[in-house]
Amino acid sequence: MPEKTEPIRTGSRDDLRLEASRCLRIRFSASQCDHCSAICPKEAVSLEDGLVIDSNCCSGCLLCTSVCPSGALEFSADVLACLAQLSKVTEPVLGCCRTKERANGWIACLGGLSSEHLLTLKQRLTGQLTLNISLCSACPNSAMLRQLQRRLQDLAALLPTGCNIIMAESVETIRFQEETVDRRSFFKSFRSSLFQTAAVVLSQSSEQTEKRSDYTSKRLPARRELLNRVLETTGQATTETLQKRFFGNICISENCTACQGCVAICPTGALSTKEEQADTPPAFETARCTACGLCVEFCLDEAIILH
Amino acid sequence: MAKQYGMVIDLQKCVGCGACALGCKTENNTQARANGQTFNWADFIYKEEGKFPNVNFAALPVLCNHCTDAPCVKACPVKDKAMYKTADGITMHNDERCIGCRRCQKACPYSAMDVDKEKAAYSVISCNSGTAAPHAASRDTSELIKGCTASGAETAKAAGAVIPNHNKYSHADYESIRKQGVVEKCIFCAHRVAKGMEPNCVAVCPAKARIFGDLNDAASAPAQALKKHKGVRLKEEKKTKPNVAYIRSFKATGKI
Repeated sequence: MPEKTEPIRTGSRDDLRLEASRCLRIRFSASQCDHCSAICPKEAVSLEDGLVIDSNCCSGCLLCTSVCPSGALEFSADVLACLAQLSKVTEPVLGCCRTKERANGWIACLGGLSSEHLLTLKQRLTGQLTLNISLCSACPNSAMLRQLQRRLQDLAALLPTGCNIIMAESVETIRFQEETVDRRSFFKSFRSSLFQTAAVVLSQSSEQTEKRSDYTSKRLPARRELLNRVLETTGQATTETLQKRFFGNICISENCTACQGCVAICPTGALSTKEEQADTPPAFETARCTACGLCVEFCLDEAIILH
Repeated sequence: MAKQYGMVIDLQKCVGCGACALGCKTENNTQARANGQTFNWADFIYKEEGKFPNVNFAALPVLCNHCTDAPCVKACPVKDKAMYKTADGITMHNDERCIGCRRCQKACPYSAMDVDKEKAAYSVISCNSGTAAPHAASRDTSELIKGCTASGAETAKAAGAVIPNHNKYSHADYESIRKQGVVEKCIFCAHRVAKGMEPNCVAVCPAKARIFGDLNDAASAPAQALKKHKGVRLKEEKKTKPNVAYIRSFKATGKI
């Protein structure tokens, strides 16, 4: 008799937060953006009729959230709360919903760790961070492993000090250490309490998985907020390298008729109408640009070039 | 056949008083003209032609034509368009989905992006500023006449509303006062029509020059009027199939 096997419980669609008004395809029906459907290993994302995630196919690998340029897809787990947990031990282990017993902190699936998240973890944690991937290779979400590896390599190449995040496949190599309340960790947790307060505020807003919001309201994707905060602490040379890697930059040519349409279509608020100068090309803030390219696609005068 | 709401304006009955424009403003709480935006969903223009002493004068009420092939709807970039046609033929605008890119305003043959700069007589679509809240006059704290009258802000505060004469109505697609950064236009007073009433511009017209109803219903008043008189529509050459028609042209001539 064949042995009864319990299906592997991964995350699900419920770990995703979807804000349709931020999706480039919904803001501009002719947009060709397909980052989420291109990276989805389960073909759960359909873009035919707006942005639809098939709950039956989605296994919650969160890869889509790591590439969405506008924050239309984000994961509901609270990264800052997780970071506060991790910073309580010197060499923390980060796991997923399947390995949370052997980890100091966890998010539903490690596939959700974008380059921005990894960079935040690297910069905020003093010791080495171990990603517990002991169950990943046999997991239905194993497709995320390659992406994670690539992101870590990419980051190590970018940073002068390298990247102190390692992936540990075998349980033996994971030096998991439970949180202890000695003097040192007490003060450490005290220091990270600042993060925790911020985390509570963030988690309150992430209760619904489908968020309706005003099409005119602008905000940065959560990933980018984290990155911008990290950039405040890095040295000048590193900041410049990272800005080059993550920030978009646009040039507005003389074809611009100053119609301000791009200001309206931009989901992050990188473009804005100059006060008292509504008849001139818009102002551009590179720190708010995620290089989604929607303005380039949208401009009737073909006046915007994205670098 | 599906409904197609439309309007017929009898130019020989129209006295050019502009009650339609005022009626619309009070009904829909539209703000005062500013920055090249008229905010007159129902507007009227005077046409003066000829050379003295042979001069002509005519008044022409204008509003959104609720075109069957509406270019504003085609231009709206949002998926599940913010500007769309309702089942009964009204060109409807949804406040929530509008991103304020003004493509509709650009596409509309009856609209101008800036009436002052383009020297346009009118614009049926207007855009609320993206940087300032609407109804600047009711937020102004300076007295209209110094030491004599109250300020706009004081009057609004005393009335307990955003604007002193706020007509609070509710509709699924639009708010009684539109928020900043979105466009707005005539929606044939859909909130009134839903209750079996006529659009306010029709109700307030003292000369009964405006006839509103279903153009596809041969028995309706506007269809009857169009059967009796030849209807003229504005800019028909644009092939947008406008649903506002004018009958019985009228010109006041200078000849005695």
